[in-house]
Formats: sequence, C-alpha cells, structure tokens
Amino acid sequence: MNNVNANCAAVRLSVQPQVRMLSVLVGAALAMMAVERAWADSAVGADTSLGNALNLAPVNPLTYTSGYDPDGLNGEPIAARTPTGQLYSVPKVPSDRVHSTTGGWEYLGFVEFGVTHVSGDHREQGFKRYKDVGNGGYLSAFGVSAEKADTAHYFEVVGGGVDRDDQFYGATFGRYNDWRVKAFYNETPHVFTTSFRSLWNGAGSGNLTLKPGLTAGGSGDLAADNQAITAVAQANTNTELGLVRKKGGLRLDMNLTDNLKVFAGYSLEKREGARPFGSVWAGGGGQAPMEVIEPIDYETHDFVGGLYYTDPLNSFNLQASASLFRNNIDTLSFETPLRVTPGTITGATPGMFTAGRFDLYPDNEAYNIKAEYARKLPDLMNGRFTAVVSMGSSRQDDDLVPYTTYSGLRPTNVSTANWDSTDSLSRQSADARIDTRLVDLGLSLNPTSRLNIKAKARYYETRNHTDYLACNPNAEYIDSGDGTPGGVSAFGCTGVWGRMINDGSNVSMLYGGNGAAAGNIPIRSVPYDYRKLNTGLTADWRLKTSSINAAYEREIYARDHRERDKTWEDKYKLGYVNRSIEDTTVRLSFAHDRRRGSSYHTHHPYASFLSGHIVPMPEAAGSNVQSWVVHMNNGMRKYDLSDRDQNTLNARLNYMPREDLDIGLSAQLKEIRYPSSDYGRSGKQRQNWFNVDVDWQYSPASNVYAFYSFQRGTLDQRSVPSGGGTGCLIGASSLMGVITPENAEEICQSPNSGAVFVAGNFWELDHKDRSDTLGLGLRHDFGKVKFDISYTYAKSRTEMKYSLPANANAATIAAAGSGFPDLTTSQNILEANLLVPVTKTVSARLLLRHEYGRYRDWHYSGLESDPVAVNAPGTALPTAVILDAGPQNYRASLIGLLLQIRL
Amino acid sequence: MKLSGVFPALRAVLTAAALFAGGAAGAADEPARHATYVGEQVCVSCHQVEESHFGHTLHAKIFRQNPKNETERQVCEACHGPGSLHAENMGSEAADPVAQGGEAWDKIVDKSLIIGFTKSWGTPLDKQNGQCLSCHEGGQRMHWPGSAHDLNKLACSDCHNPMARFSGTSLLKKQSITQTCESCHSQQRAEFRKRSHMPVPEGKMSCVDCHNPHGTTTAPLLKADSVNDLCYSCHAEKRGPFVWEHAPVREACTNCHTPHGSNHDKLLQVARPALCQQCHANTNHPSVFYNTSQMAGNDTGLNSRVMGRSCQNCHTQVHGSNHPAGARFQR
Repeated sequence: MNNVNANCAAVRLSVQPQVRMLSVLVGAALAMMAVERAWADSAVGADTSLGNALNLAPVNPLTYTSGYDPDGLNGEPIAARTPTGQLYSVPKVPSDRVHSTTGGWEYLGFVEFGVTHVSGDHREQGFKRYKDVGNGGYLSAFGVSAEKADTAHYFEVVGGGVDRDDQFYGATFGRYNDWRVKAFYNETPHVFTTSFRSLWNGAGSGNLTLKPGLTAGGSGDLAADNQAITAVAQANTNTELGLVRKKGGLRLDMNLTDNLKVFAGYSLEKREGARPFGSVWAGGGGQAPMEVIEPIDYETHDFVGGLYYTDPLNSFNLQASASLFRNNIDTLSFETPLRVTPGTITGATPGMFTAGRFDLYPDNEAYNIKAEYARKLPDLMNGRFTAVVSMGSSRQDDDLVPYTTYSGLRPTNVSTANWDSTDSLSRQSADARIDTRLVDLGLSLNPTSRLNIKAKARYYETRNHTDYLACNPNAEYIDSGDGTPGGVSAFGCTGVWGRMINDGSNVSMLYGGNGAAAGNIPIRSVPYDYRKLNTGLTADWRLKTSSINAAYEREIYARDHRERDKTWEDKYKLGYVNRSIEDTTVRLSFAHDRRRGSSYHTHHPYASFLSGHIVPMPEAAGSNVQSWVVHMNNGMRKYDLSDRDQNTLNARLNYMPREDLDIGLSAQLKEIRYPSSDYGRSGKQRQNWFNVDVDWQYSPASNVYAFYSFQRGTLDQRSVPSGGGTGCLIGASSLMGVITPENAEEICQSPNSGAVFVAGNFWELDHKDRSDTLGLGLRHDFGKVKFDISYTYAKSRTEMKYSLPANANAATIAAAGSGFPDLTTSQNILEANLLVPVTKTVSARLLLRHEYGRYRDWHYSGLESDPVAVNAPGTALPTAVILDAGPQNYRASLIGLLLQIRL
Repeated sequence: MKLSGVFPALRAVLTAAALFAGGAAGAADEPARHATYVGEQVCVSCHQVEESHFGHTLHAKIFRQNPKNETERQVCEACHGPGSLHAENMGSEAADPVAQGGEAWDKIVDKSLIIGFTKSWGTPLDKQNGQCLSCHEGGQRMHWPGSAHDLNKLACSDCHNPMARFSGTSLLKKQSITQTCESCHSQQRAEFRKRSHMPVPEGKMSCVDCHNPHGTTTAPLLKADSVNDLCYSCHAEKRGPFVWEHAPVREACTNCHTPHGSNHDKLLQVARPALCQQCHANTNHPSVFYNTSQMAGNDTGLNSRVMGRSCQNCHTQVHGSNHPAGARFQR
C-alpha cells in the first residue's frame, strides 16, 4: 500500500503545473479543496455498446460461460427489488478459473467458437439489415480479464463476430482509480435493400456506366429503351446496396488529482458502400425520374478533450471537440439510358444528355467548446447554481461544380454559354458556416428539506453565415428586361440570375426559356437560423410518502426567413410520484403545452431570395402575377410553426403482487390539436400507448418474462391543389374581389378567392397507425444443462384514408377508392439456446434462431417484376424507373453449434 | 419594483411554502449518527454470498486495490455507511433475527442503522442517492439534480446494482444498457421493433449513444446541445452547412424523422408523399391529391410521387444540396 501511495504522490507532484494553469482558467471560485472524489464516467461519446445481434449485451469475461447463481445475490432464493420495486436480476456465477503468473498477474478468459448455418431467405434485407451471420466457422465471442492486485493495474479485452461485418472489439487497460485507456473497433452493417435492380457498372464509385444492352442518352426509340431497361433490370435482380460503418477509437481518462480528471479521445469512422438514390431530368415537375446508386465513402475524424473538476462546493467541466467529415467521392456521374427531352435550351440536341452529375455531400468541419459550472450555495436555502456556455461552429468550403458538364448550352435569352465552367458561378467555393451558441443558467433553492424550487433560463442560437448568389457574373441577357443586353444588378452582383438545372436540360432563370420575367426563381441561398429561449420554474414538493412536482416553462423561438418570425409555447406540467405504497410504485404526470406565434406569412420570408425581389411585379391589366405573390396557399400552417395545443398524460405503475413477481404497467395518452391550421396537419392528432411487462423469477434457476405494447396513433392532414381557378391576373375578378397589384397577394394566396386555389377542391388524408409488440421469454437451468428461449412478435399497420377533391375527374373517382392499401410490417423472431457441459471447462452451445418477416408497402406495388412505370409504353418516357423493389418477405433460420471454452 | 423589495417578498413566499411543506412532510428519517466503521471483514462474516459477487466489481477493485481516501478504504461501509450499530443489532444473540426470520425479523432489525439500496430496506431516496453522489457528483452527472429521472424519484440503484458485475461495464442492474433502460421504457422497446429503427435490437447501439440518463440541459436528456447536433455526431455528412438548405432539416431532424422507430421507411413520421405535403401546399405538384389510381400497375394516370422514394425520386438531396443548381435539391 505504501508503494501505491507513493505512486499517487508522484502523479500529483508531476501535474502541479497543469493544476495551477487550470486553476487560473477556472478562477478563484474553484479554489482547490482537499476532498476525495471518485470518477465513473457514463454517457460519453457514441459507441457505448460493443456487441452484435448474437451478443446483445457487452461481453463480460467474468460470467460469459456461467450459469445463474443458485444462491442469488444474497443467499435468498428471491431477489431483492430496486427502490422502484423491480426485481433485480439473479447474478451469474463468477468464473473461479483464475490463472496466475509469476509477475503477480491474475487472469481469466473464455472463447466461444463453432459453426453456423443459415437457411431460407437469409440474404433478404429484413434479415440482414444490421447483422452479418452466414455459413461456416464463427468466432462468436471472446474475452480476457487480468489484473495485478498489488499495483492495481488491469486490462480487459473483449470481442466477437470475428471477420464478419458486425464484428466488434474492445480493450481497456489502466490502473484502478488512476488512469484508463479504452480502445474499440466496431463494425455495423446497414443493408438498405437486397432487391435493387442495377443498370450500371461501378456501383459504389463516383462513376456509373450503363451495363451492356443499354444506350447512354437513349436510342431514340422510347419503347426499345424501356424494354432494354426492363431486360437489364431483370437480369440484375437482387442487387444488394448497403454500407458498413467501421469505427475505431481511443480514449484516455486520467485522475490528475482527487478533484481533477482529464480526458482525451480520438475516433475514426469509415463508411463505405452504396445506397439507392434518385435522379431527374429537365424541369416543370421533372422528367423520367429514375433511381440510381449513391456511392458512400466517408471518413469522420472526431477529437475530444477536456477536464472534470469537482470539490464539495464546485463542479466544472470543460470540453473541446472537433469533427472532420471527409467525403472521398465528391461527385457522382451516372449514365442515363433514357432520351431526355431538354427544355428551351439553345445548343441542346436530342440524345446529347447521356450522363448527369450530382455534387455529393461536401467535406465539413465542426468545432465546439463547452464549459459547465455548478456551485452549491449552502447559505442560500441550500441552493445550487449551474451555468453552461457552449460555442460551436460548422463549416464547409467545398469547391463548387459548374451547372452542367455539357458545353455550348445557354438559356434562350442569355448570350453567354459558360455554364459548364466555374466562370458561371458567383463564388468558387461554398464558404458556408453556421455558428451555435448556448447559455444555460439554473438556480435551485431548497427552502426546506422537502421543497425544491428551480428556476432555469436557456438560450440557444444558430447563426447561418452562408450566402450564395445564383448569379452568373460573366454572362449577359440578350434582353435584360429593358430591351437592352446586359446583366441585372443585385446584392453586389451584375449578371444573369437563376440556374441551369439538371445538367442543363432545363433552366430556372429570370428571363429564362421564353425571355419573360418570373418572380419565383431562386436567386440566393436562404440562411435559415433561429434563436430559442427557454425560461421556467419547477417546484418539487416531497411529502412523507410521495412527491408532487409542478413546472412551468415558456419557450420562445425567433426564426429568420420562416413563415413566422416568432413562436412561443407555454408548457405546464404536473407530476406525482408515490414510491411508498407497500406493493406499488406510481408515477403520474400531465402536461399541457400551448404554442402560439406572430402573424403567419406564406410568402414574405422568401421574397428577398426570389427573383421577384429584383424584378418588379408587372401591374398592367391582364398580367399574370402568380409567380410574384403566391408561394403556397395562405391557410397552410407548417406543423413546426403552427398554433398547437398538446395534452399528454403519462402513467407508470410498478406492482409487486408476489415477492417473486413484477408487473409493470405504463400508458401514454397524447392529444395534439392545430387550432389555426386550415391546411397542413389539422384536426386532432393522437398518440396513445399502453405497455405491460411481467417478470417472474420463481427461482434463481428460472425466469419467465412477457411484455406487450400497444400503440395507436391518428393524424389528419388537409390540402387544396392549385388549378381550376380564375387565375392570378391583374384586373380579374375573384370571389374576394377584383385583383389589383395591392391585393394580389392576399387574394391569390387564398383558396377562398378561387383565383389560384379553389377551396371546394380540398382533399383530406387521415392516417391511423397501430402497433402491437409481444415478447415472451423463459430460461431455466436444469442443473448443469441450461436452456433459454425468447420470442418477439411485432406488427405495425398504417391506414391512409382520404377524401377526394370536388374537382376529381370520373376516372380518378373510379380508380382512387377511399385510400391507399394499408402499410404493414410484421416480424417474428424466435431464439433458443441450449448449453450442455462437456467437460469442466468446455460447454457446447446449440443456438437456434428463426425469423419471419412480412411487408406490404404500396410504394412498390406494381414494380415487383418490372421497374419501368410507364403510361404508354411505346410512346412515352417512363413516369418513373424504380429500381428498388422494396422490402421483401422473408423466412430465415440460423443454427449454430458453438463451443464455449473457459481458458 | 426595486430589487430590494423583491427578495424579501420572495423569501416570505418561500418561507410560507416551507412551513406548509414542512408541516405536511413530517420528520425526515435520520440515519444512525453514532455508528462507527467496523471494517469489511465484519461485514463479510455474515455476507459471504454478497462478497462472492461484489469482489468482482469495479468498486471492490478500487476500494481494495487503490483506495484514494478513508471512505474508499471502508469498502462495504463506503456506500452503506458505518456499520457498528447494524452489526450490533444483527449480531445480538438474544435477538438473532436471522434465525428467527419472518415477522420477528421485521421487529428486531432496525433498518435505519445502515444504508440499504433496496425497496424493502426503506432508506430514504435522498440518502441513497446522496451516498452515491458523495463520490460521483459532477462530471457527466452535473445536471442530475432536477433532471427528469431525479424529478421522478429514481434512485441510482434503480438502474445500477454495484453488488455484482451483471453488465460488462457500468455496474448496471441488467446485462446491458438497453435492457436496463427498457425495463421502464417499454414504449421505446416497441418502437425499436418497427420496420425502420436504430440498430438497438441488433446490439450495435445503446440508448446512451444519444441520451445521458444522468441529466443534461435538454428535456429529453440529449447528449448534445440540440437535436441536430446529436444526430450529426453519427450522420456527419448531413451537417453541412449547404449552399441550399431545407428549413425544417436545418432546424430539427425530428421534424421529419422519429428517433427510435417507424412503420415507414427511413424512420419517417408518416409515409411520403403525405409527409412532404404537410408543409408543401405550393402551386402545382406539391399540393396535388395523390391516390391509388396513380400507383404502378395501373394502365394510365401513373405518378412518380406515389412510387418508391416518392418526392425524393426527384428531390434527392433533401437534406441540403451543394450543387449550384440544387435549390430544389435535385442535384
């Protein structure tokens, strides 16, 4: 022990300079006090779970191969209960097979390996989405723990799923109560689809080239092209698209003094693979949408470092982090097998658009520094003060790509054809930045030992400094609006405003295709940001056998460039907890939230980012001004901004009918109303849950559990299509009067006017969700033979019923019915394990797992055999080419024979 | 109103509330004040079974192999408090509560003489948690006081059981973080079984990847300053910022996605195109009435917005685009 103390003293001496420096940083209020502090860390970073589908719990080398202790935790057959009243688990018997070395180390370990065999539809996405099991040898898990008691050093190594895409490894070493290094490596597969029908070579790369049989840019024969796509798709069914996340990291934690701990960590994540993506050509609603394949080749470097300081009065945390994201594939080029018909583009010829190009997610960096401080105030009603300050910045400055890869293209009213060059851009790189700030203050007072009152204020803001102008400074209009050539000036740029879209197959441009002005062309990026202020008061009144808490909070959002400048929400909550009823613990709460806001504008927030800002709205009689004044109908209330009333009742009950039996009941009733929304989410939304859990531990050797969850949700939405009205023409009559330049916005946005939207043509859509989840489990130790089995059944169903608009045509009325087919998902998973001892240190584990999944998703109906959806096969481009056939029913089994060897 | 006038008024209100609360609450339980430490050997002389498990826990390793202070050196009594009176109470030959068991046990055993962490022992919750926080205060537990779990009167030992190494890490009461959380959060357990979900049932994530159960500055106990900052910690590619931003995406990922599980693709709140149409009532195709007559398999009237990826068949870069032509997220 003397050596231990000497080592500690050495550590303390060696860090005095750091301590002094940190003391300066923290300030006089954090004067070091001679107290003791233990550090256990929790909730730090992601990757807190090293495991996989066959190792759901982190590997525990001490007990992995053990059975449950017949003596329980305390010699009693019935386990004790948590303070809430739930039965504690029965512990497993710690391994007594401990080895020693001459150097004083003691260690134990195990390894589990064998063979597995899968059968049935094991290649389907439903089965393998996040796991990788297959045929052949399998090292399922291993672990070694070691320690040297006289110096308190230790290390532990665990792992599993070796050489599979869901493999994981962890290593921890250090000295108890002193320092610790943790390292991990974890792979997570994510299979998006196994029913994709690829048309390309090069999946996973930035260059997709068409497979033989397809012609880039189409052959000119639409029917032949469609047939060729079908043929190639059918020859390449069941293509799997997915990725694997590979992440490794290292973290050091060290107790510099009893009060001060420092930590530093680094992790690198690589994600590689591919996923379904969409593409479209031309404009005006798009032409020939077709799924393509997005490559994934990402790297993310995360650095973190900081300190924790605590003494009897003060606590202080300081953390700095940096996250660097790198996309190793900047752009995606894909050949199209379709003959794209370009818009009014000078220089465009039939068949020239053979390939398109995406600009993929750009590299980015994020930095954050956060300081947290808490101080007890024993002389102020035994109070406590907390303060948090956090500052962050996200940045991205990727080089921008030109609008098109095709040379010689120019919008009809533009004299310049530089759109395939970065000369056409107002800037060469994105120079995007968003800064965040957080200040959180809290003051807690305890006037008596029974009453706690806490006041809090939290301010969080995002500041978006991104500003991109869709202005081609090196191009000129043939007619810049006044009958003369030149550029149009705004925001410091003189040039051509708007964009060539979809690789130059169309334009969205001021004075574009037909030379006429339009008011709704995006000319500038919108730097969305917001500020949020939460202030509140909470009282917690602890009675002798229960407690009552009440809280009030006001949340104020101030948003830039949204339909509402400000919203405010008052949140009231009342809670009751009683843990002292003999056989029951009850927790109840009721919350009422009421959100309101400033006036709602559907058009104003975007006006300065659209071409209407730089081109005056025409005022002559007969002028169509819809593009200047209508963004959407003015009865729409976006649900994140709308008035909202919400009531939530939560109840949770833990009941102990027998000393070996738990019953847990919980329920939530939530009702949300959107009182001012004529369109959008409307009416009453409900989200109700009921859960029951039963845990019966009738002996240390046996346990039975069951759970059932029921969920029911409803949601209504309403909208009204444009069209069928009298139009938004200056001087035209409407149901709200004659349209003038002054009232055009009010009248043309309103469905009640019948100008652009006609109120009578509204449609409604009601969603109803129901989910049922059932779980059953049993384990029993038959002496040395151990058996467990579990079964989970989950089923979800979504009904979507609608009412048709009044102007629906006869064909639609006849074919539409009353709603979409139900969306359903069901999954059954049965897993059983039989553990039979072979020798004192070897056991055989027989593992059985059977899964059965069914899906019905109307998004993929009619596309099962042919991905080409086309109205008139011989004469038209496809309406869509949906290459993903969607989730497939599956039935798959896994059987494994594994040996567990205690080292 | 002058500040000097506010504070006396506030103090008066608080005092009145305190008097009222005090009257209703009754006297607080007091632990044995005069007990002294007896050392772990005395404890183990009766609690051999407990010791057979406790000896493998991180607490035991720290307390026995590298204690930093007198409290830690007490091992069992570091958490349970000085045990002399408890030992005296339990060791009385005349009473011998262990031998008598049953009702006699309840009459003889004075549970106030030592701190217990089970429901039946009845140590007040504040006392239980106070014992834990006497060493574990600060750090990631800085915001425990007043947090959702604290307000709902959870004890540390509702989630942790440091008497045995049930879990690979963290001295949890169950084998894993997820099992521990799901013992109360049944609703989330069910959500993770839906069609699209985070890989929690597959053992690749745990609740603590996103939440800090010991309290944070956010109501849902998020580990980051905002929902989006949390999501970006894994989905860094969506962090941007982008040249062309999508307003609800920039503000909160949860505007469109549910965090745990969904009956729809990609953890979406509702099926597309309905989801998009809950905000987009623009002219032309965003506000159109979409229906079954437009699904693939019909002879005519097909519409790409009800097939496959729906709106994202065209508006692919819905999280933001860095392409100069990407204002509508099509490149």
